[in-house]
Amino acid sequence: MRGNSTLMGKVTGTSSYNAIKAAFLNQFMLNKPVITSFSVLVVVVTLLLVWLSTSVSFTSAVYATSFGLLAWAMIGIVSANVCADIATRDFEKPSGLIVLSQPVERWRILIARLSAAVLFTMVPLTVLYASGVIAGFALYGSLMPNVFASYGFSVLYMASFMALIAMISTLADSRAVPLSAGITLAVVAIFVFVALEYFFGVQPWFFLPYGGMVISSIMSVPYPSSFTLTNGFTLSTPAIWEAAAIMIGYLAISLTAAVFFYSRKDVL
Amino acid sequence: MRTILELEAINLTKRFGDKVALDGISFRFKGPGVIGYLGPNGAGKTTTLKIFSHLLRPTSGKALINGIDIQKDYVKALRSVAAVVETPEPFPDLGVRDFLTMVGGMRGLDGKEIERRISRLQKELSLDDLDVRGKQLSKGNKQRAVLAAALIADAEILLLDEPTSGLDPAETRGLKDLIKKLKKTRLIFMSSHLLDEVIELCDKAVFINNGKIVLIDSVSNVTKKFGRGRKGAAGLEDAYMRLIKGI
Repeated sequence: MRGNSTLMGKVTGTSSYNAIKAAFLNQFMLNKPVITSFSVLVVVVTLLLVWLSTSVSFTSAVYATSFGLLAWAMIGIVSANVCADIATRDFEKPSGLIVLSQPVERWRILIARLSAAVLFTMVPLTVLYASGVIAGFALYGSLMPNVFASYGFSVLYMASFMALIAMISTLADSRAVPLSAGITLAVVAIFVFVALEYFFGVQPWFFLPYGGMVISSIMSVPYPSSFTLTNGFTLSTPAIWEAAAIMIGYLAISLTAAVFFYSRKDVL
Repeated sequence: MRTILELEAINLTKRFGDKVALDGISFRFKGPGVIGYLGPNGAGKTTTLKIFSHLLRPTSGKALINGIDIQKDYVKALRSVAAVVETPEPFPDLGVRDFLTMVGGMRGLDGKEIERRISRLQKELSLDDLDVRGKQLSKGNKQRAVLAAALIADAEILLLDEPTSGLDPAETRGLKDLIKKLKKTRLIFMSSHLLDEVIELCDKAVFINNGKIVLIDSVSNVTKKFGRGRKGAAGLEDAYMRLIKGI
């Protein structure tokens, strides 16, 4: 809609572009406090890892994989916090009555918000990697192996995780549901994997966090087929192609489902 | 190019499980003016307004805005509409200016045009500090910020759900004067429980009860036919009691 005349002025620019920009900036403004807090928190958490590494005398290889596991868990926690209300805010808060009655396709609103969330959450993620790399270099005098590939997978994992949380958010009536689901998934996933393998001999390829384990395992050289945990349990690691397929699959399915549910949901 | 200012419901039905909120209502309004939508709580007023603002999907029937079926092309249909339905509020963590800028952006306006309209609305609605966050606003200021968000769109059709609810007498007077000004060029469909407000502002009245339309007529005809000889708000009150309560 370019140059459409209205009663008192002109609508200039492209309507859908401005609408996407508005939803994008709105997401940024709403997420700014949580992004800032997590950017500080990841530095603190990295310092704790450094303290642990020096206390227990980690080798550089153990430091790298531990850092990867830390990144893997943090991504889930940050993503759940940033995206929990990405859709619920329109259905649980009175401001949604205004947003959803605007002449903008709902899928554009959701995609713009999700893109903003992914983009801005790259800030604490980058801070985490930067502090981890600097600390690793200070401790061991070398760069963690495949750290850039790990960062790349982290971004993909974060996008998939956020899409999944967004989908749960479109189905929930309150932000508490996607938030607790996301944090539970991020924190307890590893125990579920161990239990599945130990009791049933099942590789949890159908769990998104299983795919995300590549973030840590790719920093091991050579690439490991399994992890042995300190309690003696063994946990398989996904092959790189398998991890990428799990994450891309989750991203595509979650995004499609999120758009479908968000577009059809009634504001009661 | 001006649009035609038309709002039409054809056998509009909305069910929530077993409950029938709207039972095949039909109406058609064309041209500028104010339509008052009257009925008791739970009659279906807000449900109707929500369907016309694409917040609810009808179970069956059609809601047409300027001839466009909102179910088929809600983006095009909603370009002509600004809605204040139920009790919306600005985002709690956004300043009023940021909130209005966001809504203006969603309406396809560019930055300069948004600024121009915000300045105009600040005067018209006596918006005080534009940098105050939504959660820090008083009830009346929230209501005015929401009205500003509706008016920034400069839409031809306004859907207002009890628009003066929560406003003090001075704010109510200001809003009524604004509605009187807007009704010359716009079609305003508003629900209200305040019969003196309906008498003062509305050209036509629609009575709804239990999800069914009871009567559509001009306000003057309604008071004349059902007002038991009384005029103004008193006559409309008599009409309301007869049509809705059956007494």
